[in-house]
Amino acid sequence: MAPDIKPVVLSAAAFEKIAPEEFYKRFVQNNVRPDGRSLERFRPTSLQINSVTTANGSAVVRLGNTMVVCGIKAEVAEPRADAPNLGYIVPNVELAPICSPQFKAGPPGELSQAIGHQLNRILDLGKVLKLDQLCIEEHQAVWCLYADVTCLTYEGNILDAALLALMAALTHMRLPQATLNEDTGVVTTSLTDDSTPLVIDRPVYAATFAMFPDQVLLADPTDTEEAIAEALVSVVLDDQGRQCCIWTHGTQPQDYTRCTERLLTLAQQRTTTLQSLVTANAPQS
Amino acid sequence: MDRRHVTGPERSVAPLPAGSMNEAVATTQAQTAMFFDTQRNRQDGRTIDAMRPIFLKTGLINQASGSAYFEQNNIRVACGVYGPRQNTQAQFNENARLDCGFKFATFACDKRRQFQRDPEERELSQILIQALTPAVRLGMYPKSTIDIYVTVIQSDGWWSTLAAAITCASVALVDAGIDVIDIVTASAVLVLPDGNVVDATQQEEQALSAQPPKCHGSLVVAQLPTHNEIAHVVQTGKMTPAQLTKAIDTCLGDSAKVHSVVSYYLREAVLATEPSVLA
Repeated sequence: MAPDIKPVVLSAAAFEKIAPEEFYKRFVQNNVRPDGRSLERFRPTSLQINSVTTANGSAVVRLGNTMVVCGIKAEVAEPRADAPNLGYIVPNVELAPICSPQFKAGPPGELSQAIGHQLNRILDLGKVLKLDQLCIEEHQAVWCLYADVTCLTYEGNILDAALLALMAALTHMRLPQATLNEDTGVVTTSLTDDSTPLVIDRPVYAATFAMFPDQVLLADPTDTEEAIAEALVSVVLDDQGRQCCIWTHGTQPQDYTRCTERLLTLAQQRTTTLQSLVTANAPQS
Repeated sequence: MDRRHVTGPERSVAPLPAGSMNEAVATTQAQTAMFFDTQRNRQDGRTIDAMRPIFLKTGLINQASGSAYFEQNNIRVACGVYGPRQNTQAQFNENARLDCGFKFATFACDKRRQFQRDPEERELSQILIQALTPAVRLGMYPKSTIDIYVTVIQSDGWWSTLAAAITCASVALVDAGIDVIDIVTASAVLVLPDGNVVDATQQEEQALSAQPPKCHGSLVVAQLPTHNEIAHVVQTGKMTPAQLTKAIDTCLGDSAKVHSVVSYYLREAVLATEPSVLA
């Protein structure tokens, strides 16, 4: 007698845990994702500017369930000998264990190091702003802007969120008027409110996509989508839609180049949205 | 040498506000006088016995077992609780272990902080563990750890921030569904010769602590309000026993007010999600 085989009935949650790739495939076939988004849709993005009053500039970014706070603290430092009138911008990303169980306490992990360096490169190579506007006194004192991005809740696509927070904070921050006392070598800031905003030459924004087989693109991937994607592509464009840099991680499908055009179009739309979000959010007075 | 962060110049300092070096001593008296008018009203419009309004929200961090966000004007504290999860230490323990990671965001205070946890943050972690332990039924979770991570996004008054962190962590524990016998609520006062200043801001702390130290101290009391028990007391500075008793009474009254806010919020939160529970 043949054994009595009963079909296994899995709950959706169990199915997702056991076979995440297959679980996603079923959704993607129907042009929808488990969180209800269509494939090329970004998560709702919101921005709150200069709410942290202990920082010179700040921005809180929510990208779905990913939430980051960028705070900029301005300090005074000596310029490098080979660049006597250039200031510093030091971006760092902190992914502490508070935001997700995947991060451990202690020194920063690989992801936060990588994102920190990516932000640094974008600012440096993308010619986002001129560092000579941070000069207080040539050869002696310049501003050093510590732009620290702290993640509060993590659900993937940290680069987009971190870069948006950094750009928004830089755009709306104000530097106090500073003078160097030649005799004492001490830099003081004036008590009257004559602070000035920075001049941002080229605001840049990132759009990240997860690539799946058969040229399927998922915009703004969550952490589960990032984990099962074949490749991740981050496109960084400026407000005019010109390319700043493109990163791909993972193995690219051979027809990757055929997706590129679609990627750039989507990234350009995204950049326009983010730029208007940043300019529309005037700081709270 | 820190190779894990993007590093800037070797040394950098926060700029000084103009005139702060020579006139500092002279202005403190005037500043203190400025803080209270004759009706004992403060700069932000509060009287000396009034707390700042509280905003509270749970479930902020969806990856955590429980989380809470606590805001009191400029104080913003976020807390995530992970656990109970397996204790990886080999030794068997019939009680759960509470672990706390207290961290100021680098931009949370007037002076920039470092990424590494400094001794002050370690001390605050210990205070938090001591304040919360009396409320948690650790015996319910043998062989496990409960991790409490607190991030201060902005602090405004060291003592008030500590009190806010204790309350926030306790609410996050409740949100995580961890068995507790009570919600721990805390509040802070500055003790002056002629009265207590409740829930002081950073500016007030600085101005008042610059005064000649006649008799001046700070106090944070964490209590289990429904049990009417004190969970933790942190007292510093100089005060007479009578002043201390009075200050503790003030703190207990205030944290009872915090408790009414917290329990009202939690009740509303439960009603919003599962109306049948409280029916």
